[in-house]
Amino acid sequence: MDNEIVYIVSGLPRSGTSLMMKMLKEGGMELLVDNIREADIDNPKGYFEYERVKKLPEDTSWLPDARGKVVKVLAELIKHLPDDHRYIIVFMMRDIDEIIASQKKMLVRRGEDPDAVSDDEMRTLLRTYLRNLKVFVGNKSNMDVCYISYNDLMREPDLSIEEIVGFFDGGLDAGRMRAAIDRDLHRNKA
Amino acid sequence: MAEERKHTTVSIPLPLYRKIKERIEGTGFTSVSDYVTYVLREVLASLEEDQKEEVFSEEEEEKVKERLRALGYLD
Repeated sequence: MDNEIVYIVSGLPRSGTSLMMKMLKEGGMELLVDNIREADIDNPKGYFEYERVKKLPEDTSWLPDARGKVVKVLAELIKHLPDDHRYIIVFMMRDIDEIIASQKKMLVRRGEDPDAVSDDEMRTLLRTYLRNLKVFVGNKSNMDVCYISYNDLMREPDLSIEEIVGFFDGGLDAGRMRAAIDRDLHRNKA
Repeated sequence: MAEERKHTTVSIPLPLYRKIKERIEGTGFTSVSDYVTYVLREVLASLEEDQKEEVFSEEEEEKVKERLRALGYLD
């Protein structure tokens, strides 16, 4: 791995970002996490988050510590990453309806109103949101991105893992990455 | 004065050529070149379209952010 590059896993909540963090860890990457947000019923294997990421764009002082490591950066915060670093990004995509269904379950468990915005409206919003984010990332010369479909990863893990390993210029243990996928957990994950 | 050339030659693998030739049989395409030109124009148009941001109002953006906050992913 290149110690000058910040490796990032991104995506919308409930698109498989925690799974990808776990896979990259098993594959041999060092993660930047603090485990402040603990595992729960929504993410039984953990969130693999680093709380200071949420302080973007005000606080970027942690970024040098992220060089050569993988850190989870929510899609919304990607646009606040400063230009003076290089980023390799694995961006998780998932069927929008599955994302919405999973988010709504999580909202209920958090005591939030899952219907504050209708599913139809949220579907349209998230599609446009992701599309614009792709344009943004595509125009950044310091960001290289690989879009991985959570649905494809579940259907044919070997193909997706091969793509990720290639994107990272090899050096990842594909077998251990595959073993990190708990098919039972994710088959039942709405 | 020589007429300006309007076409040039590009190479594609023979197996792909044969596959396209089979595919266009019975369609409106009269040659592999016509088909390849059509597909490339479509792909380029799609790529150019992908490079444009769609209008996303502040209100719409705030709805997405509010969802992210409610989920605990944004402060």
